[in-house]
Amino acid sequence: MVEDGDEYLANLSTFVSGGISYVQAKNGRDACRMARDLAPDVAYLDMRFDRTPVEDLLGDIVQLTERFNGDTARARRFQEDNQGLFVLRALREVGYARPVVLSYDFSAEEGRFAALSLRDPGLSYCPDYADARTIRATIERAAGRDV
Amino acid sequence: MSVLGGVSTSWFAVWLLAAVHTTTLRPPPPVGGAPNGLGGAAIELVGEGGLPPPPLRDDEISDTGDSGAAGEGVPTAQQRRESEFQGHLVRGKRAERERRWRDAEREFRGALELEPTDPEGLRGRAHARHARTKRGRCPRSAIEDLALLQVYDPRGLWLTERSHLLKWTAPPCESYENDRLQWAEELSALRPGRRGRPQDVAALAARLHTDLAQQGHQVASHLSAARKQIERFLGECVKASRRVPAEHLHLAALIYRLSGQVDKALGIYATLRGEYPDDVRGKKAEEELRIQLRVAELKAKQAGPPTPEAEAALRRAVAFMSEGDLSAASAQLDRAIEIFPWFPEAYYRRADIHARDGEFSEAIVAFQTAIAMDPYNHAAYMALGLLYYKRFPGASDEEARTQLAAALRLRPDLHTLHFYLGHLHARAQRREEARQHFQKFIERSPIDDPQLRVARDALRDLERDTRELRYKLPQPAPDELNRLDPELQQLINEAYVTAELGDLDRARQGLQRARERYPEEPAVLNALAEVVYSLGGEQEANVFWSQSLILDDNQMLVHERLGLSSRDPDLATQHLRKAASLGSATARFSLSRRLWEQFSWFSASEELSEYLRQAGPYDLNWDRAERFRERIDQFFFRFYTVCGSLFGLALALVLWRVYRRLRGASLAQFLRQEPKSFPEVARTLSLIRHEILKHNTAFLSDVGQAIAVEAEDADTRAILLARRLFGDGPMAPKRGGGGRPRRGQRGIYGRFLGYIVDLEKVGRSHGVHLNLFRKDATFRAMIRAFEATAAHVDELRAPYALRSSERLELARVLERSGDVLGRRAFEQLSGTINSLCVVDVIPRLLISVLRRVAAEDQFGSVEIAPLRVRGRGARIRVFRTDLEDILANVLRNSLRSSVLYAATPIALAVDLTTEVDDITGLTTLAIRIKDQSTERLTNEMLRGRYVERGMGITADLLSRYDASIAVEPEPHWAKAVVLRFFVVEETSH
Repeated sequence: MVEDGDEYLANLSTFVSGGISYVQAKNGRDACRMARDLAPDVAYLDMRFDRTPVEDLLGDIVQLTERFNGDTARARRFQEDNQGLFVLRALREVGYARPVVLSYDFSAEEGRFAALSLRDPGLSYCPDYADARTIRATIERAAGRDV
Repeated sequence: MSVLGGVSTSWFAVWLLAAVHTTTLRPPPPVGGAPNGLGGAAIELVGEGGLPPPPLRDDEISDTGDSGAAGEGVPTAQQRRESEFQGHLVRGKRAERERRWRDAEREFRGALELEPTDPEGLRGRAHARHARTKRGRCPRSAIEDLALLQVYDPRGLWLTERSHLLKWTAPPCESYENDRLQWAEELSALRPGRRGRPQDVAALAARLHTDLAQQGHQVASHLSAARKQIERFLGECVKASRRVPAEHLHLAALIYRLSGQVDKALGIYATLRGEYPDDVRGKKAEEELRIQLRVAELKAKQAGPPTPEAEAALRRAVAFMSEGDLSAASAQLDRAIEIFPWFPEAYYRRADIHARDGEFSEAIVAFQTAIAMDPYNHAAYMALGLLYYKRFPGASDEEARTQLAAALRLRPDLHTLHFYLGHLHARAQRREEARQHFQKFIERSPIDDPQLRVARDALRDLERDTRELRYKLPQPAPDELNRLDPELQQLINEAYVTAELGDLDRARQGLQRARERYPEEPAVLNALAEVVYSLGGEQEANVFWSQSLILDDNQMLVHERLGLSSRDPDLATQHLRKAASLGSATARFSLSRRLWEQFSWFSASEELSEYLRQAGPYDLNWDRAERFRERIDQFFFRFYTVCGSLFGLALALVLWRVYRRLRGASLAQFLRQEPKSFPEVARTLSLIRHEILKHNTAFLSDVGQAIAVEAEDADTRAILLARRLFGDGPMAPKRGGGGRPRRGQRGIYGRFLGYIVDLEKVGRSHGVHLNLFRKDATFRAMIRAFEATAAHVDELRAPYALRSSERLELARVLERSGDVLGRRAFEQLSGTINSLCVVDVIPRLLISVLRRVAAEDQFGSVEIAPLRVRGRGARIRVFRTDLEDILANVLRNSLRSSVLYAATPIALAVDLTTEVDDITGLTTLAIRIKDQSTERLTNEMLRGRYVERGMGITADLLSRYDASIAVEPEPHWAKAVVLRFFVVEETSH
């Protein structure tokens, strides 16, 4: 579980607990380390990391700033809003090849998800508003279990 | 003389036998009835009650005895019989004197056994037998004895004794009527004062004749004889200066009444009243006679119902009167009278119109005609009385009083009549009568009656002496048109007249008899009700009237009476309404008053208006109605003023509340008005979507389902959810003023409300009042869902304490709130944002912007080649106006730079390309604007606002939409200014 707060851990530990244990990382670097050390069955990523210290955010802020007309604040916010994908890229780069579930609703951005899936077939997503049953189903489907 | 009775027949037989006896056995007795011997055969033949010989007189008996005693010394057998006979007579008379009737009868019988026809013996035995007859029985044997004197001593004892027969044959003796009448006539024919002639024998003869006449025997001749006898008797009394007994005066009055000589009968009653003032029977008889006279008078004036044509004309006239068209009404009434001259109602209406038109003389005549035709028409009495009262004050007060008093007799319930009668009596200085009428009026009037005050001034325009006016009656209708059975009409008339003369009990009895004979006749019930009402039996009268209505429901006056007297308000209103519909002005006015008292103000006003149209100034309630109208108008003026003010105030309050609720804008309206606010709004919406919906409320349904199925950890989840959503402390009040959510809530709910406040702040910074609760469907649903959940926060915090039903209810609430605050709100927020800020960038958009820029004055003389655009473009998140401003600024700068630094004709081109970021997967639309200007331009110049001409604003706008601008090399062109926007996918909402 990679998130900037504790909401996912608390929620999923409470509502999606049966048969699943969770460990948490609060930034991309910890996630990469944890992936190497623990090799979890599934990585469950939050998308937005607006409470993570900027120094812990992954991504090239200079390049992003260029993309945003030199506006560092906007670049930073873009970095925060899409940190989950930056973490995903980092996990793959460190060799974590197991399924990753991104907590984000791509139903309105199917093209975007298609582009991401084309590059990373182990990626799946769970909508932000998903209830416990959906989350469980998504996790178990990603882990290759029957639901 | 005709002999009809059995006794008379036997007397005739006795007379025949006696005639034979005297003819064959002995000579006829001398005048005076002197005895002339005894006949033994006769004694044997007749015995007691048989055919006796003529009797001896007392003086003859004594003479005979004396002579016998002075004879030859030895009495003969005849002398002994004579002596014995005389002895019986002497002893009989002595016993008679001593009233030893048994002995007297025995002695006289003994004498008659010796001398069967002896008058003295017959007389004595008759008196003895009469005396011995028990009281109440007919002394038949005594009568027969005494009657024999007519045969045996017709010129002697008969003449003095026959008067006894008149007494003895009086009732209860029967079958002596003719003999008694004969004897009475014989005695009556004698000179007054003659011996044996009773003083009142003529009256007796008159009585006997009258009885026979009343029994139907030769009525005319007996009445004539009776009249002759009674007049003889009265003459004898006058001649002798004798007071006529009351009984004989009654007889005289009766004879005259039966003879049709009413005036003489009234004269006799007047004498009787003078001579015997305490004689109640005489008073009643006189009243009875006057009733008969009045009934006869009424009968002569009554006619049947009008023809249907005349009735229809009357109805049309009434309708015209209601509409105020008196001229048309008058024509219809003339028509009705022409069709049916004996039409009192038409005359009454006609009089009313005359009065309204100021034709008072004609009105009086018409009213009088109506009254003469129908003496029961109280309305006509009232109208005529009021006409006198109002139009001829002083001059016709007596006429007014008479008419109004008549109306009051007919309608004692119309207490207003007392008011006018009081005034009339007051004018005539009859203080006591005036006081009584005013007192009754005051007792029966409501407190607010304006006529309780001093009477208003009388009207003064007297035109002429109304007393000279006379009316003419047409010929009564034929008898066959009588509306009632003549006999029934007679009974009702008798009751009416009886009541008019004050004998209400008798009137009631008569009507009850009439009712037994005519149970299906409403007129009987109505008359009975009138009488009972006059006797004070108001409730009983109402019963009769109600029964009458069962027989005929269309009786205006009956409904009116019931309406005025009924104590049941609803029932009274029903009757008054019905009576009013049938044409009763009095009922309509009373209905108006009653409705007013029942707070049916509008109905009361309508009824009063109808009354004022229907009635005229000479209606009983006209003055009161006018004052009532003024009062109602004043009330309604105040009422409408107050109501209007209150309504205006209430409307203002309502509108103010509505304005407060509905003022402001929804989020969508705000975004359309202020597109520059989108980034701030989008950020807040994004926060709501992320922090509120994504991480918290999405689990409402899960907890609800867990509670519903009683999952093992359901309570733990519920407690955790409650803590997260609402914190641990008590809840703040639900709403603030204007229905806005109150601040001060904790947890996610408090944060959500905080975001709402942030959005409202954004709105205010743009001069817009955001009303998310009232005008924004998405936020309203979210707020209500939160409130619904917050209402069960205590249950959510302690689910283990809930009963099964409470847990199910909580589960339902959570599931419903979860449905709203889950995916639905998420999608709606997303849809709201996207629908307002997504633009499809297509070549035509670019061409149109360039044309607009090229049309500016600064490029008027510049030759510009058509814009070439390549690529399909894409949808980006930006407001169209902002995008057009951005494009316009960039194109304007490129054109201006090209004008300065490029060869003509000026040419620009645009490429629309898309780029996909391999990390985020985001697609970017690059709008590459190519030109031939050799002017130096760098990214720093653009972003550092080195370039003026509006590019600073362009850079700001681009940043607002997370877009960028850059200068990049472009093959075959001097450069390209590249605008990059994130693409919004086609499939997005």
